Amino acid sequence: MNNFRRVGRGRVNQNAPVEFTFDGATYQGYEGDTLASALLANGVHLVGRSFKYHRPRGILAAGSDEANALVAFDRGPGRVTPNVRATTLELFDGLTAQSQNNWPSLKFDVTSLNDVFSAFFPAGFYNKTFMWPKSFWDKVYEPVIRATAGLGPAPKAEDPDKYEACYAHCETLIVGAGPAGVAAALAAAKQAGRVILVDEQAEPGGSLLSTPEAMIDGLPAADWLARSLDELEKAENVTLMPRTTAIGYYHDNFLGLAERLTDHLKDGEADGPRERLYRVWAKKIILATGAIERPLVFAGNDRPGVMLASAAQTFLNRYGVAVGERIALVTSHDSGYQAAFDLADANSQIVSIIDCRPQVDENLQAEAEKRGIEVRVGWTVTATAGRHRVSSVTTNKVNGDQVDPKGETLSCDAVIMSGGWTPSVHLWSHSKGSLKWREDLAAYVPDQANENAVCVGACNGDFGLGVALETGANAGGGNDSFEVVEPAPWTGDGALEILPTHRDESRVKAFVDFQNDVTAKDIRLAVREGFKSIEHIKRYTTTGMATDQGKTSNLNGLQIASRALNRPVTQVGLTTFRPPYTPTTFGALAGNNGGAAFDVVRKTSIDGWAEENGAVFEPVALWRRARYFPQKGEDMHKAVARECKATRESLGIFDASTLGKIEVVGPDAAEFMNRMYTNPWTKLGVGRCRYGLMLGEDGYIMDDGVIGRLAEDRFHVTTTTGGAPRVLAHMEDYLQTEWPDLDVWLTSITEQWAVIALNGPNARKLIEPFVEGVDLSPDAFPHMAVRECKVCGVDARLFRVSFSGELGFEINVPAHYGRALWEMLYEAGKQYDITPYGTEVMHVLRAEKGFIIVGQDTDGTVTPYDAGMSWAIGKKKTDFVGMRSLARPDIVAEGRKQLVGLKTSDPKTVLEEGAQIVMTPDQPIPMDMVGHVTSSYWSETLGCSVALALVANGHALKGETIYVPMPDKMIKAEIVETIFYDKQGERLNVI
Amino acid sequence: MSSDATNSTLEMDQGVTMGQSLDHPGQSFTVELMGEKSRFSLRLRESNVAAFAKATGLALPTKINTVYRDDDALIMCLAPDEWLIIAAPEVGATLQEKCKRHTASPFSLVDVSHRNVAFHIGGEGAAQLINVGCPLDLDLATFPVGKCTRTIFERAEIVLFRETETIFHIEIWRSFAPYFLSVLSNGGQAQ
Repeated sequence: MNNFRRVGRGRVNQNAPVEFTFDGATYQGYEGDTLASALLANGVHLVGRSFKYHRPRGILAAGSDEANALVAFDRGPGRVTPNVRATTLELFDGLTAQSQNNWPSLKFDVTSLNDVFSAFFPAGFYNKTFMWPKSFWDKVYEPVIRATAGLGPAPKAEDPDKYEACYAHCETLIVGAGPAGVAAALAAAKQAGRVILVDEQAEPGGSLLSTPEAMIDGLPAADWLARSLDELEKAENVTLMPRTTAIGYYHDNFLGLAERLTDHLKDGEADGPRERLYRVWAKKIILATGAIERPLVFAGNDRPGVMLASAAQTFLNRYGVAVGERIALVTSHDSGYQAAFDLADANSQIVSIIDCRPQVDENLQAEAEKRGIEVRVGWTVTATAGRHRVSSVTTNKVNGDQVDPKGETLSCDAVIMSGGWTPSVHLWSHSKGSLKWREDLAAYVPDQANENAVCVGACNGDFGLGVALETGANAGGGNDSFEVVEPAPWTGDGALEILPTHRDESRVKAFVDFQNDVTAKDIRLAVREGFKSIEHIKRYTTTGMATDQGKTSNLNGLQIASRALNRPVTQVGLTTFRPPYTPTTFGALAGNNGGAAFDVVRKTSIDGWAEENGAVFEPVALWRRARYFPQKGEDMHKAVARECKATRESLGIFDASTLGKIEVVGPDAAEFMNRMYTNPWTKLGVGRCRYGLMLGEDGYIMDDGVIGRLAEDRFHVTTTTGGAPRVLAHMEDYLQTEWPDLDVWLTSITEQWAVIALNGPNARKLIEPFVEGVDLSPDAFPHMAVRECKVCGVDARLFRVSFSGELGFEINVPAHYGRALWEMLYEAGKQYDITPYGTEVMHVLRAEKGFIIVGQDTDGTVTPYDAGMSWAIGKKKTDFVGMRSLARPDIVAEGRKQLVGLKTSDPKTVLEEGAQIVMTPDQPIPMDMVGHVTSSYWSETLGCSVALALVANGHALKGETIYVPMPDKMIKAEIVETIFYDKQGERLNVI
Repeated sequence: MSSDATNSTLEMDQGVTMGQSLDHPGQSFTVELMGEKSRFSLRLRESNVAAFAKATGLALPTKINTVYRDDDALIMCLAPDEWLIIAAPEVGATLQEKCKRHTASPFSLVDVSHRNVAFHIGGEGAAQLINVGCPLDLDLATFPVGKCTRTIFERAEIVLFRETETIFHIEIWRSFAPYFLSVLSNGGQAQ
């Protein structure tokens, strides 16, 4: 095979053959090939089917601008990457890839009937056709469209590869290692400061790799490149990163770089992460991103075998592959000629150069003549033929505005085209650098920078090797000059995107966007239908919206729209480039966050014990908490019932370490607390606790918790588990911005203390022997008292508090001692049948007592009055955060939703949390909903269900019957008090 | 309960043994969990620093992001009015007593010994490894020996201090430590 390989040409290692598989067939390529170059060497041009019409497609480009040749790169289960450009996929021994978008096979695709019936699929077809009937969308249109549309298949298995990410900093970041980038790096390397040079390709060098005849400073381009790269490798301050794509340029010279580490290695050689994402801040950025050649728009320009002239030149000079034996060049730009000359020099026949311009440079014509190549000046192309590969091109003479209808058909096996060059301003545009239109190039080029960035070489519209090297060196801080010899220097002048034709343009399929199958007539149709801005035309036709973001199509589309609108290009608008520059794997973006690092899972020091003892966990904010401890054969219901009963009857032990804790210290601590909480604090004695209620500025309940006064100037504040960070931020916000005069400081101590809650009539008996220096008798240490003391020999803060209604203590010990203390208490508690319980029982016990959970029984629109907690507001206080809002008309209005208890008429029925409440059962739907259930549990202690609910005007409705409509039934319940158990609170006082 | 209990809890919680390093072939770094420490968060107004330092004998660094080190303690200035004091466990009580000598102006001293755990990251690749999750420029010119700062490591808050050219001391809230190690372990594969 390899019939199209040219011995002695290219940089591939022709002594190192490599086997690969494409669509099940085995081929041979060489080390250094891409999948595209190896397929072309084997004469394979047909590599895929197009997106909409399923037309046969080949290889258009030679780099990351490829629009057609998307393949599925298959490395086994979980390692299938769809939509990989064959032109960037490096060949290795055993590489396997498949074509996409075809069924049942690439050569016979059933859905290519779309192409035959394409008159019925104009731009906007989906919008127009599938509007009606509405109900058809979900069930018929969408599933069918989804099955037949789209690019490659999304992988289903889990990705076994590893990815990583890191940050980096440098003084100079250079994107693109072509002549301009390399010259910039050589100059920057001589200055102080770190330099990073990145290039998306496997081999740095850019255009230097495919222009072997060029000479720099007396050396062939490739030798100059090798010498330069060697110098850069040796420079200590330079990091050279090939296979690295600058995917996005963000604020403050921050760039994302995706480095591909293993995709080019054969199976078994790949060790370590597949890709690494660098997040880089650079003081200065030099963009040397080059330019992309523009296709010409003519009928049949998408046939396999039709490709960019520069791509053909690259395949020949870099990979040693001739894209055909009989090749036609269609051009509107000087640069195409050199590709034809190179191919002719490599023994391919150039059947004709069809130049649609009325005049052509004489030197170029002379060069052609020298090689015996016919040049047709002022000719156009009106058709191509060939089923799976181009077999002929039809060319017609243009006389002024008229195209001679009599064409000549030239037999060929490849057509190369050159429509001028588009500077790659993608990254520049990400950074919000402005652009200006250059009529001579028919392209936008960089204008004003928005960041400390500069564009050099072709991406700045400066074409030619000499200028690229010099502007690059200047940007890098040098003033080197270079002696350059180029075989056929050209300027950017004279680009023309659409070729004239005598045919009915509304019937001709001349492709603009190859990947999204948008033709010139689609754009004209959009204009006829009233779209005037390219932003609208883009969305209507989808031009430029494929995975290549219109790299090869944007400017052609823009100019066709401009012509159709009869307005200058600059008045048609320009769409915005957005990151990433090329498609990027989710793995690279996920970076280090695989596996256990996916998210923070905070665990208490007692978590390990819970895990060893069979706890079922639930997430609460970033924490994981034990929910219940099922014993053998128990489901959640049984475990929770047992834990509840044991706690109420004897003794339960609970890990409350996740409670937020803030130490408020300073002479103004009490004053600060007065202002932050609704309750009064001044008179709270040292060693006493109080329930604190915190409101937002809007007067709604924001957080709550028990707060102990350790000293005149020191409070131990507790918050809800999930509320800890926002409560501290809220406090700091007021302290720093409103009351900087207060002498008080806030320190988070959530993680300093492990908290073990003991609840039940035997709680005191258990802890008494472990506590040193505190008289725990009810009179000396009453409910809502706090002491600093020693427990088991370590410093502790002992609270007598209860969130269960039982006699309760919370022992705070330094966190590292949490588990050891827990184990001691657990051992000693066995005499009282001590029972560990989780958050579910904590919820049930508090609901039986009517204690609210902020965020469950409140939803950010509940005031203290609504919650039945007016008692928590200091009556004599003149101010606290949220106080003024409590007097707003809406807050004091009748009919607000208020917290009530619910008792179902069937005591066994447990309501569903979140269920809606109605006043009468026989209303027509939609019913008048007056509230919803906020908490609901089975109470083993009471032998009935208990529930809390927010109900409009609920406080005034005690004793009324309400209904809870469920899909299968209507549940009847009575509005009752929120306290279900031990209404007098006597159980707190067990001796 | 003894400090042995503390250290073993530390190890159990964080999934590494003290002195152990993350297991990567060919690595150029070590990650070690540090043993038990006394830690205090000290807060006082800038205007009272001199008086406080005089009364207590504590040499509080007044320049933000700098530290004072002696045999007894490491004091990091994290904000104009905030210091993190780290000392051997047996020195903690003495430090607390010293602070109480200052009565002339208000301050806040809060024991946060067990709030944090600490890691030493050392070796030629240490800075690069920290950059796996920390966005700061750790070049010696911008992050010299002796610099400390509160910063982030992916989604966790850390305090970072450069002890020597190749040794960093990282303080992190205890429940974030396993996450910190997971990210380090994912990100340090190819170093």
